[in-house]
Amino acid sequence: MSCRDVRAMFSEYLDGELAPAHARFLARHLESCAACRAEFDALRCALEMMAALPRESSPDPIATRVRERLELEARKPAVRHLLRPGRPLLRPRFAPVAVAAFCLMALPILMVPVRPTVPAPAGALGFGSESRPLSLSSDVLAPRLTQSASLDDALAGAPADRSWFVETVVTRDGRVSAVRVLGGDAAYAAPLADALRQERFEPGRFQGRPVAVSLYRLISRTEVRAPST
Amino acid sequence: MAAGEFAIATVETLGAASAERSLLEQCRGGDAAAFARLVALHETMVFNLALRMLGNPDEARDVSQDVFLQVYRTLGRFEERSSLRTWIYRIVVNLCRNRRRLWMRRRRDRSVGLEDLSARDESRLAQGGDSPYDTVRRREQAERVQRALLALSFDHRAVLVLREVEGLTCEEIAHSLGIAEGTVKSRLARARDALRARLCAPEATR
Ligand SMILES: [Zn+2]
Repeated sequence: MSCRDVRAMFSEYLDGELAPAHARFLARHLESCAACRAEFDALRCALEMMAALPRESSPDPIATRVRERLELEARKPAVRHLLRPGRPLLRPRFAPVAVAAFCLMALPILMVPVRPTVPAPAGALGFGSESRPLSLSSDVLAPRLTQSASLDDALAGAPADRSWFVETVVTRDGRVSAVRVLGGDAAYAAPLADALRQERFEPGRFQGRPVAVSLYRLISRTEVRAPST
Repeated sequence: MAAGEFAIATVETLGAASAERSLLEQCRGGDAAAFARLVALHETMVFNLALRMLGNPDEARDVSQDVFLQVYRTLGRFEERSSLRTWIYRIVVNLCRNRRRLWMRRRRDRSVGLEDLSARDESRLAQGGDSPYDTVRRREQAERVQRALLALSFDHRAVLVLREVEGLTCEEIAHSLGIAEGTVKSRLARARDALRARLCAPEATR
């Protein structure tokens, strides 16, 4: 195999998609060929620089702009038709309610600030690290709860029929680095998030190695019945 | 514990997929609050993808707004063959492509918004314990990467950003771009090589 053939495999090699025999061959070649090694290091350097691009936020909140625009379109049928020939934007029955609810919901959607408890060492390209947790899927083994949090105090006084939609980032060492309450009664969001940070897990795994995982959970109250004896 | 008391909270893990499905159902049922939640969940990723594709924060903000308006209007047509996320990525890429075409027609290169971006984000980029030197260095590096990205073709830039920044699998990228998975892999290899040539020539790293 020529150096050119070897370099053509770099991309798949980095993604771990190369057949084991090819991967071994490539690794051996890199040990003995300085030119290919330099090329490979350069490729890795470029991809790491790209992965290190900072996450930016919009000059002004997008949610607000979207809401205002929908509001405008709902209020002015003429404008609506100009903007959207053919299809009605909102069912008329729904429009005014929609706008009102959208405004109200601006408050209950809480983004509880991320509070990292573990420094994130930079992984190869950062996926599965605390700043880029993986979501559950068929190839990601879910974290298993080893120490549950007591939610009694946090939810004391909450009506029984309430539920909360929560995202929890479980780190590679089984701690909780972030909790975001994405939906549910805002009054309990902060104490609930604080309580959930006390949870500990057997970390999630991807291809056998521990990874940070984003868990989406619905938290609700259940009725506890005394034993019938 | 007394009978009938509400005392223990159950925690049900939904998995991203079923959480998403219930959110979608609520949105389709006309629940504006659910749609607001959908926007909040995807806002950062939409803005960042648009920003890396266009290189200009104001353009990226405008495209992001259009993306969610289009999501709102076409939710009924979304078929759950792919995830909501990859479907939204597809809309972002398409709208960015349209916007670029518009620029070409106007013969105006508005992709040079890097200075605005770096000035505004200087403070945000600063991290705890960083010296001003680190901050400047990080900003310069981000600018270099962004410039290199903008010098690539639109298609190369799209696969790179989806893969290296957003962390999509090749299968998800195939869904997002509406191309075959094999095409994604070969395009990704070429795009990575093009980026390497612009950012880290071997001579420079030795
Ligand atoms: Zn070689």
